[in-house]
Amino acid sequence: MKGKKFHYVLASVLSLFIAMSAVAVSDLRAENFPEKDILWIIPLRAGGGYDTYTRRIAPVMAKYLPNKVNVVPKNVTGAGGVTGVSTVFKSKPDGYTIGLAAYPGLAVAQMTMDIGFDPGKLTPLAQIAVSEQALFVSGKSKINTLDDLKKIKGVRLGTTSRGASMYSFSLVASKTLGLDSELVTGYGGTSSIIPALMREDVDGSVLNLTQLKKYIESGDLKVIFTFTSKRHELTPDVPCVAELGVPEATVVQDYKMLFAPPGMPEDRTEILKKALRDAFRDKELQEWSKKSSMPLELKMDAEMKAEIDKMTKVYGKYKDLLK
Amino acid sequence: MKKKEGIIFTALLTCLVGAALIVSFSYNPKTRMVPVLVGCVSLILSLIVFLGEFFPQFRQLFEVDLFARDTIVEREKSVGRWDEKKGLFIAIFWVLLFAVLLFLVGFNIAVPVCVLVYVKFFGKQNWPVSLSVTALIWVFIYGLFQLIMDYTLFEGVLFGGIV
Amino acid sequence: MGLFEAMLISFFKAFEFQNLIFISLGTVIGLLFGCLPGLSSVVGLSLLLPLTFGMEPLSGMFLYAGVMGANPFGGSISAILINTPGTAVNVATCFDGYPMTQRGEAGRALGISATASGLGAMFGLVILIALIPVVRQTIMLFGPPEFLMFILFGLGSIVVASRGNMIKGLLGGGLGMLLASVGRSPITGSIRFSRDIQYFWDGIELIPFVIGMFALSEVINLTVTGKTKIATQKVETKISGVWEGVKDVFRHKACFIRSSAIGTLIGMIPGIGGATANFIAYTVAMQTSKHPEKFGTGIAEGVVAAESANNAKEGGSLLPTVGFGIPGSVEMAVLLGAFILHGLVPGPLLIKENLDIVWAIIWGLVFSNVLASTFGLLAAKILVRVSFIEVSIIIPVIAAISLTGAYANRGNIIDMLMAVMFGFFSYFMRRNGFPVITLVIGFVLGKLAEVSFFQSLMVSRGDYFIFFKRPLTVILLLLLLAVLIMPFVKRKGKHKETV
Repeated sequence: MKGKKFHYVLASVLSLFIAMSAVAVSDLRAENFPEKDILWIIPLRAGGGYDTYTRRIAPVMAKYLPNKVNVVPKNVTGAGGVTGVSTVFKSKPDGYTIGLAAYPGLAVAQMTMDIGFDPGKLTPLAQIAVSEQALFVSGKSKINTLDDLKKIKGVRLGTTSRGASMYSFSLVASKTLGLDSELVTGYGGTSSIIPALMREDVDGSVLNLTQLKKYIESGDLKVIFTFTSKRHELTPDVPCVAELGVPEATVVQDYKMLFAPPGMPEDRTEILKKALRDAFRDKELQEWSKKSSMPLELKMDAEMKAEIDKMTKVYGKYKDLLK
Repeated sequence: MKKKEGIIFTALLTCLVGAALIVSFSYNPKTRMVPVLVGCVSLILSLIVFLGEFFPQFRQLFEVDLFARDTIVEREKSVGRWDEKKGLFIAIFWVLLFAVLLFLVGFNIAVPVCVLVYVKFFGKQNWPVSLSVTALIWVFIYGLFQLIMDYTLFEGVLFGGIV
Repeated sequence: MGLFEAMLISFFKAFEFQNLIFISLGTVIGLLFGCLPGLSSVVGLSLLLPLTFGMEPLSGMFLYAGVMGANPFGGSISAILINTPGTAVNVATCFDGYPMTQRGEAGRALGISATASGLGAMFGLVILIALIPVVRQTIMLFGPPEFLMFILFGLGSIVVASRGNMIKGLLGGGLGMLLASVGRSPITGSIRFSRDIQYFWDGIELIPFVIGMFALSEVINLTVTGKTKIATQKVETKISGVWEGVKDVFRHKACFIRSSAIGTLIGMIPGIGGATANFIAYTVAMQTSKHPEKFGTGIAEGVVAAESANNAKEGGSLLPTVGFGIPGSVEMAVLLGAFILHGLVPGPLLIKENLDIVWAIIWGLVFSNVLASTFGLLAAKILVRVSFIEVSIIIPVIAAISLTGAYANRGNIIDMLMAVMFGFFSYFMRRNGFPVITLVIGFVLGKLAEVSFFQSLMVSRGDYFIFFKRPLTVILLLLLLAVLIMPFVKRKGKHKETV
């Protein structure tokens, strides 16, 4: 009797041990990933471009993930967008936390301050969008070309303060294009600059082209050139900086990049990337992108790295001015 | 006691403003303009207040009332369960306890513990009331934030919370 | 689509079953998130966004408008009952709302708030509708020099609010402005006072600051004094308390209209921020009142002013938002994001292309304000009981909700620690005779003052006379001086009478 009992106990303990090991091992394997909701961190506040893109794409990405889980957006603001990325950096690399970062914003932050971590170590997932910038002036402005702009001594460019992406754009634009500019800082964002342009409190500003489509249509604002390598479909009559002989200025773009914490297991990264690829092929998402004037552009791996490297190089040249 | 406390507090305030002013001078002109301007005025004002604590006549010089009435803000007197000194000690102790616990072990532990401590030990309520209040507030916070908002309440630094 | 056509279509759509549910749901969420400190309508709106995917945009608008409309009144509930502004626009409500509760008149205060909120919202919406055709001109009227005049006005009210204790009041204001300068200079981008501490790069966050300065400060105060109830007197909790409040709003018609106008105006100006509307309205009310010395002790006018302004602001801030695609406030920025999510492109053409959407928001705001105010009036009797509950139960509950709210504001545990720090700071300030109001005004307006001043100079290329060259700036400056001098003139008049 005693012996049998002992065998039963031994068998139960062994099977328990095997079961627990199986659970532990399966936790490490990707087969069941994802098993719970994934957190997508937005480093900037609700209502802005990063927030809007996230909230539209996250549910679509969730649709194409293997199991039925949600991708939950969460705003983590602070330090001009650095806190959110820092939170991603410090999270467990188990695939359950991902987040957006602004480039060149993050690169500039790293070059000019001590942000406390090396963004180069983050696991890149994808570039999800590029917001092309253009030089806007008032619809009634007498400035119509780059040459007009160059002629004005101390031309006033409206921008946010140093530390935000727009400032870096305005500075790099001025330097590469050879403008004698005065940066009028302190504006909260695009929304504060639009009336300033219309009142001609400032002469021009580097702003997001597609976001302001309606203002071009209504005639309140006009574009005199775009920071792109070829003419943009929204403004076919307007030259691009490549045409104007300054291809270097094409780094004046806002790239929305998605990252995961450093040290992610290869297989989980691949699952996330595949879901993104499928999401971007989703018809409804594409339709929304066209309708709401929010362009989507997916880039991964080598292409994504190339963009980051290019930006880091060009903005690095002006590191001291940006400090 | 009141007088001594007033002196200490205004002294600290003066030092704070002074420190801010000194640091501001190290910034470039546009950056330091507002802190320096405001800091100078504030420093003068805080010195006046500080001196006013020592010399009542001095203080009266500056008690200007726009509405032609002498109203000095009366400190709320202690009315109830304990005297002011004990109350102050309890307040400092309990709020700091709450903050530290929240930081270390997160909301799910700190909230029920601290609420219970206050209601039962400082409020001297009986067990049924204490436990039900604790349970209600814990359920409310957990329910609203974690469940409905799908929000992860801070788990505490000791349990992996990220700062 | 014609104006009346859109108006009627949206009106009738509001009564469709699904949309009625949405308006009601939005109202409930707006009230709840309003009265919980740290949970803003922004959070509520973001939460509801996924619900509306795939539905027609109009329904989404009813939901959002529900939240936005009820939110300010929800915030006033906690401001009045427990001295905690539920949202940043309810700060001024604490100054007279809470003292009324302490006197046992919480019902009256709630009655005032419900009525002033509802009517103030209507006022703002009427002005909005009237000004839609001239939205462009309205937006272009206000530039940095004009902003500066508004801000100076608000700062000038520090002087007024320092009554009884000029030096300490001014010092409080100065401290507030110094606190506001922590972090990046909005002009140069250099980091002040905190280069090594990343947490402070964006400055001191408003919500934890406010939660600490008001809620936690009162938690500490109630504990120290050992009071057993918030209300020190027991006044009848009959309905007459609430109706007294309703009548109060009509008794102070001029105050109501002035405050609503100020709220609407400030809402209309993108860039000034909603938190300032209730301050400026409150201090104008103080300066133009027959009993300015009673402000801060629990006078009806104070609550009328604060609550009508912060609701009128909603209508005002819709103007640049829907009329021109420029958000009039933080909530409006989220609303614009919601537009984009629904495939609508905000901008100067939105009104032309989607007038029915605009009317859906307007009607949504109307209905949610009616619902919220009615709820307030009916529920006041029950809500008032809070001020009579045993304090040793209320205190830990307030503390728990406040600390959670400070954290939940943006998921940062350090915000909670900040709130605690400001709680102690505010308590010791009060204990030593410093008025909290001046510090809060200095903090809220400090950065804006700096930005407006420097921007004005940059725009004018260094010409200091810009402040005297633009007609609107001069008018505002004269108004500012007039209102500031008024108490002195009145005082001289009083002396002459008594002599």
